Amino acid sequence: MNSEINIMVFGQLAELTGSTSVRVNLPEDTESLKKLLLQQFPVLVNYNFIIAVDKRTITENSNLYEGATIAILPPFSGG
Amino acid sequence: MQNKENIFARYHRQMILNGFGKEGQEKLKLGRVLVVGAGGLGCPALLYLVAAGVGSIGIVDHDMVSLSNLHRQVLYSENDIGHPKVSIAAKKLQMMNEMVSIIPYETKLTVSNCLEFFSNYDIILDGSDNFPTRYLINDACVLTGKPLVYGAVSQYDGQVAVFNVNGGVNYRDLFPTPPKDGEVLNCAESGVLGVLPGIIGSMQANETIKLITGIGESLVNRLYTFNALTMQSYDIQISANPLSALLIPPDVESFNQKDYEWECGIATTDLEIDQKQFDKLLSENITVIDVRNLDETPFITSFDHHKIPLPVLQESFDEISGETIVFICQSGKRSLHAAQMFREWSGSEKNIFSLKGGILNYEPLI
Repeated sequence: MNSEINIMVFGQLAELTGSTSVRVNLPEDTESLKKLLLQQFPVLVNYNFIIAVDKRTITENSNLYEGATIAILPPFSGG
Repeated sequence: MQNKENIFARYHRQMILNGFGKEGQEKLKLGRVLVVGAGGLGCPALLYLVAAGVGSIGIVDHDMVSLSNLHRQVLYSENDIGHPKVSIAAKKLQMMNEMVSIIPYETKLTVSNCLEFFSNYDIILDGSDNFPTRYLINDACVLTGKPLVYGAVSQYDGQVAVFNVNGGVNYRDLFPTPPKDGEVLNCAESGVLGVLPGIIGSMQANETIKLITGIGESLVNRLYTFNALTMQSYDIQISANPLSALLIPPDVESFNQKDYEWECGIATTDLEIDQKQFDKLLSENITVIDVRNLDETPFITSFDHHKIPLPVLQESFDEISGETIVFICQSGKRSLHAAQMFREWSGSEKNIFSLKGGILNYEPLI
């Protein structure tokens, strides 16, 4: 019952995770997802990012399910 | 030679478009757009806005052209190095289309000149290259009710969005507070592929033209991201974030007092909230932590909270849950210290605040 989920990683965050796509065991919700990511990539603690679930930004803890589309995106300011 | 003022001849190829027509061209002529930043994003955006016949275009920038600009800032030539970007840009753009009114502002956008500039334009295009200016532009757009066409680039990635249309979301709904200074590298530090701002800036021009003419589906409330290496794009819906309204100055007076450079540095001011912001936050799902000693009075009865005295706070960080955490104490000093410690420990993904003035200055709502 260990289903995995794919996370799309954007921008400079991909340098920190080493890949534009990261697989983790399906967490219950976005709060646990953050914890999981921070465990796996402790360097992320210093970075600001948004989580999008099913192509929508989340502003509070949200449940995750098998097959959900997850992306993490950083801010950047270059012009 | 054709008469340069022959509108139909000049704009024929877009005027024959279905849905655009003569009406679209007339709307463009009445359009007033302020472009902030005449750099990598501003150059292509300006080129296409001027070519398309947007009636009035302002350009704000305080920079000089330098050699390292030339690989992406396509309005400038080698001869222009050392000269102000706005005057060069205005001169070249005017040669492209003498029917467009181009107004250069050779100055840095600040809280003191921003609202006056904005009042002369209908749409603001953000082609700036730093967070203080981006948050300044965003907040000023919300305050003045102007649509904001946002674009940003880094290395091979670009973002485009249209904010603040008919009360829609803004940049702070996406990223309520600026990243810490040094957390996100700028183009000078991390590099940028020259053609990328060309693509993203052109997309900003496209969104601006769509907003003015009312054609198509704009990127309102959506963040579009593009990667130049993979040619993959991804767009997401932006949900309203309750923190956004709390962090944007509610009126001109508080806007004028904002220090955006400071807010984007390693500042403490972005941790502090006043009573009004705190009361609004209380209606959300937040965690309040009283860091006073257990015997300190007054005891709080008007809202739910946890008591974790400052001396034992650090060892209890694990037990603090929630997305938004507000620390409180008697005067606001210890809580600010607590908020700073907690932010260092938890990183910037949580929203962490300290109640300014503390409990002693807090009057519960009746």
